[in-house]
Amino acid sequence: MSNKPTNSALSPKSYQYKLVLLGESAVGKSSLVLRFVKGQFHDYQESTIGAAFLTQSVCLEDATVKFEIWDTAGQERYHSLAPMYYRGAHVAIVVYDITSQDTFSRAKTWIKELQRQASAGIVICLVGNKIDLADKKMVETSEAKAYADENGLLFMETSAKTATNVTELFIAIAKKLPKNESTSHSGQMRRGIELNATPQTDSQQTGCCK
Amino acid sequence: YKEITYKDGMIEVAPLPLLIYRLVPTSTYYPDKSYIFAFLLNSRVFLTPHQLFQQVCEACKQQESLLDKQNIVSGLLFLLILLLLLLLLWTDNFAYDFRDERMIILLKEMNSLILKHHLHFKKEITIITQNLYSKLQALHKYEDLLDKINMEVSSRTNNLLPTVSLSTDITETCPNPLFLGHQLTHIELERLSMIGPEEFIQDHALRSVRSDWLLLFRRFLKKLTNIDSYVHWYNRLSYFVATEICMHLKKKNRARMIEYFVDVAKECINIGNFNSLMAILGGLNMPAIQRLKKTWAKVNKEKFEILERLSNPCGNFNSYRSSLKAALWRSEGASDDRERIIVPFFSVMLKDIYMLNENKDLPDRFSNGHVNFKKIWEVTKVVNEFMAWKQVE
Repeated sequence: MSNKPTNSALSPKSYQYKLVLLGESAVGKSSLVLRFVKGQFHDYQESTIGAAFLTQSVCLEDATVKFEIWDTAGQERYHSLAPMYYRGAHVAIVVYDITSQDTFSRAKTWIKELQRQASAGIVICLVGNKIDLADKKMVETSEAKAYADENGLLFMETSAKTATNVTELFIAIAKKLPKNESTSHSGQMRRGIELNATPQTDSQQTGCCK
Repeated sequence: YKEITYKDGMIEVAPLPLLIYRLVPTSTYYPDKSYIFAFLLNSRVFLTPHQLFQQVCEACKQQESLLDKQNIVSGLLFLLILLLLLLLLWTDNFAYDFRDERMIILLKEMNSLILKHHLHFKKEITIITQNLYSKLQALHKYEDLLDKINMEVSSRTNNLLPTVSLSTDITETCPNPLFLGHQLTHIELERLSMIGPEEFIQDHALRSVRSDWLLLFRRFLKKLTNIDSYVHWYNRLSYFVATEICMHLKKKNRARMIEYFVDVAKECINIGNFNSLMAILGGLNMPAIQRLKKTWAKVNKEKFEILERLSNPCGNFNSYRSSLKAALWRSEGASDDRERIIVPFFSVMLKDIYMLNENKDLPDRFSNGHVNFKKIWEVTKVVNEFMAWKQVE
């Protein structure tokens, strides 16, 4: 399967993007994804776990955006795995738990790492999950929002439990993505895509081909 | 047993008391091995091992006195043999449950119950008990060893001075990368062999068990940390690879180190040691190593790229999973133990179990309180694969 955003001849256009989820364990990464792909969740559990992976599409007015979702949940303790996941990803959702400052600090560390190491055009989205637990809130919306603005990130507060803002989150990301390709960022975006299609010709390595 | 639902001869849904009852042999019924293993493994999500053993013992005693009163000798013999088998399976597969002294007391009770009728089972009981104690002792020794290693690691890390260049590196200790691949595999197998199947369930059990029982769990059952240590080992191997490369000041030497570790990783695949392979690739993929563009320019990347394809998380580690299948196939046909070795990429197994537990459509219990045994079979399937790998040493 090609990882390139495929531009079908049919209208509306359809694109495919690789999306990676990062964040401390138990912040609700997989709940978010499972909530989002609910319709396809059934297929996922019927087939063997091994062959399956999660995909879901978002239909916009002028395009269909299909996400191939890579969830790092359950593997957080493996420090060196993350680069393998985010390499070549078009989107990274970094999740923290609004009731825990620690998970927010960890999210910021992820974002720094992504900005340095991931593909140049990557869209990063900061997500504060568990807003159903508003009474235990430890991370202020204004604080997270300010951080997101400073760093040019998408930002949203969600609840996987009550489904608040879950679809909205993916629509916001979808909207941001195709636009990227047609605007001045397209060059950057394409570079990101090439990285992904053939990870071996990573920008760090292209320079060394004889 | 109207309340039990079956599918293709396998239990699918049942109330907990009936499941416990089905663990107990009678003069006419015996539970099969796969059921015993699956239920013992997953029962801790619902009650502590001690609570379960208590109920099993009670039921056994009832059966015994019933048969004894009616003087049904053959039935009694049948019951006691099966009880022995149950004790053997429990102590052999879930030895760590018996770190709780109350479990030992119950075990002794059951032993005397058997000996009361058939003294000649003494030999079997001795074997069971000795096997159990040697496992517990091994765990104790291993935990001590890990403590020592961890102390050593932290003292060495504290003494690492970034300004001092490396005087020796791994290629001096072990010039042959193939040999290092073998050594790593020995370490992997040792660490893997110490992990009990119940550890896969432990975290989920601690999250799901009734809060008043949680205290019991904590009080009587020290948390097992063999999985944690195994994960820790993986991370250390990754950091070790990255450190060995970075410590060299010359590009040429860093490139040589990268090629060395690629050869080690390649030998790990040849042996079927996927865990070390992934840890090494993880080290080579660390930001600190990846940004050494001029170093990478000196590396022959052909081999590295082949290995990289294997570690791609695409399609939920599709590429790794098919290589593992091929390795398993090879392992099944192998004639000697060395060829049978498989060390799975452990992280993927943890992820699979994690996803089963996260799956809201696969609850532990239904709203009427009945146990979802379908989920138990799914979890057991993953753990069983692990048990098969562990057996090759």
